[in-house]
Amino acid sequence: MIRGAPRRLAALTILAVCMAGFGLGVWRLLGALQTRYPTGVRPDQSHALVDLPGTVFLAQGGVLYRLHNQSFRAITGFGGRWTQPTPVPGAPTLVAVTQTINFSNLVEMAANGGARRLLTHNAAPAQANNHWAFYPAVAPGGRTVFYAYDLHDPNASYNVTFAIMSQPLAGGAPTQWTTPNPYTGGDVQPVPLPSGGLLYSKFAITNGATYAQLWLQSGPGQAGSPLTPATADCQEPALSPSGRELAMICVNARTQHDTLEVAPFTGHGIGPRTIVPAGPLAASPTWSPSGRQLLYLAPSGKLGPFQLWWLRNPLARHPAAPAQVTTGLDLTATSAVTWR
Amino acid sequence: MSTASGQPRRRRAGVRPDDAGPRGRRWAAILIALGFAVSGLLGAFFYFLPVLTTALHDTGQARPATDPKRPGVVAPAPAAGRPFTVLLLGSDNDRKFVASHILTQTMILVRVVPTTHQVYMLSIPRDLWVPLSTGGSAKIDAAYEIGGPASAISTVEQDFHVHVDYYAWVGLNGLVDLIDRLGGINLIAQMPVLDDFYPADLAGGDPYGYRRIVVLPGPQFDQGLHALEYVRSRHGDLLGDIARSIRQQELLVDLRAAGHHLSVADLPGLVSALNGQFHTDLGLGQISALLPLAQGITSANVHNLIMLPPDFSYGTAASESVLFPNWPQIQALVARGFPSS
Repeated sequence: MIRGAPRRLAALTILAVCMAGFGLGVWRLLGALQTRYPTGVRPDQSHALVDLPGTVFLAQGGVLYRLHNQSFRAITGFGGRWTQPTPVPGAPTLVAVTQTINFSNLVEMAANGGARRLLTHNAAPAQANNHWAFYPAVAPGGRTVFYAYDLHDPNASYNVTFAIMSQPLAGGAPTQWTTPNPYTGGDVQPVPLPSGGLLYSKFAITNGATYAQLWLQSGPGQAGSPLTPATADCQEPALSPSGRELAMICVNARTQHDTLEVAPFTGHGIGPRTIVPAGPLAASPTWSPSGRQLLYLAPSGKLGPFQLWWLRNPLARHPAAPAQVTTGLDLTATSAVTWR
Repeated sequence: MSTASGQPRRRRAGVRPDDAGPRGRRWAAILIALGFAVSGLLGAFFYFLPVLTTALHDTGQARPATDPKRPGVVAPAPAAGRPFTVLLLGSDNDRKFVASHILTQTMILVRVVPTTHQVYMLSIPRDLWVPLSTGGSAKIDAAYEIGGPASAISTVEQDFHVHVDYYAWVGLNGLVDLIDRLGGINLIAQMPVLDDFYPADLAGGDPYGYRRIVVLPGPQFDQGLHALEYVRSRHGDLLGDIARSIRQQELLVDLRAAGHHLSVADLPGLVSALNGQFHTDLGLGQISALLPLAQGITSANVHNLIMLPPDFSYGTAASESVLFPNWPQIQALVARGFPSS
């Protein structure tokens, strides 16, 4: 009896510990069954799944990255809010947006992120006098930068809309190209054309419906004309290097779905639009330097953070399925990638 | 040890006090199994404790009485498979107001038809000038301020001739935390949203200040604060508050999609995110029953009903800009998704 009591006590203690451990295990098991959400690893801590030809620039979490030979490298510091890198034709530089509270500016920089030069000066002591600049696009020839700039209506302080401006890349006064529809968000996503004209997305509200149209304009202040119907709600135009193909995103805001579409572009109008099999929530298409391939951003499943996707032959009658280039990232979907 | 005859010595039954025999061992096994079961249940209990706490505090709320005709009641469950209507309320509880006396910036009537998986959503503009169930006329967003959910429900029922089965209220912080808890949300911004007078309450910490915001158009994956900017801003839009209502309906579609993959194990985290920022007269059992139903609904089956002129006209009442309802037009719109009470 004397020897049995400690044994029994030890057995009971072990049992009690096991039971407590089991309860803790159930608690932890339930926790492990929670849905795990992708947090978006830093691109420079991952590798691309596909070896794309050339070099790609993209944005995630306010940092610009360069993708070359499947490896990412940050070209701006962490803690900033950089987005929308765009190439300067004929020069080894980029123009990108740096955003902060209340304003954003355009900056020209070397492809490694160095030698930065401020192109706009949108900060002001009074909050109401700050401005936004987004969607930089440098015209063929590399001398003029186009961008969306918020106009302030002196008679209606709530009426803040984007208009497309241009200014010499070397510095100089900006020129207002477009007249936005009031209280609609305005005009964004400029694509300067080799002809000297401008393609962009114009937002409008008619009969309670909000929509975007691709719009073509021949010069500053000229009346433009729509390239896409209001019902298609198309935006985010991307012109192929040949200038003959147009990619765009067409949206159904009510169902929150969209399609990636391509269409032939004549310089004055577009041909029939064709839906490319890009999956749900495709965004920000960009043509390859060859003009035969497309990169775009979309979640890796139906939902979630955006990844880079590659379409090898979007113009083929039966395009191949898109290939996922990145995984686990959280790329900025409103920032089209640059591919050079 | 053996006997002199070489036979092993038999242990006598009952010599060892801890040797309880087969029956005793069976009981011991049962007790041990019971101990493990209780321990496992305790683990599950503590895991779901936030859900249970919230269930006690924030769900199954009785609607307090605001007038003698409507005593405070817990909403009865509609019969299984029968359509039901929920009044979704959203408030700008941005520290400018006493917590129990806040306006509802968002009022969305949602009718769910379980048998056909159809959903009808009708946004009610906050500036609609209506007779309140508590007496007098005011903007409809004041109904909740004056009499809480009961007053908001009875005002909507009285003016729109619909029956409301349940209500659910969520605060701005709750929405932000819910989206963050979901890891973010996919949305397609239907236009650039530029607002130089966006409240600086949540991000800026100043309930009376403003800041400039910009939401770029197109598909994106947003965290809570940025998604809130998209659905809360109303200044830079031709449709004003109506546009905000449309964007809020879109966000509900996105939230339903984001919640598609949720399991019961996600409930404690979601409930913690909504801590104090959510209450409803739906019981926890009813909410659980709604989850599989929500998963069966596709965005094509969600019908958005929006009030636009001539459903109302712009005007002034009590020195405020208001919307005067055109009730015959509104009743016709309501009838497209909601049976008359």
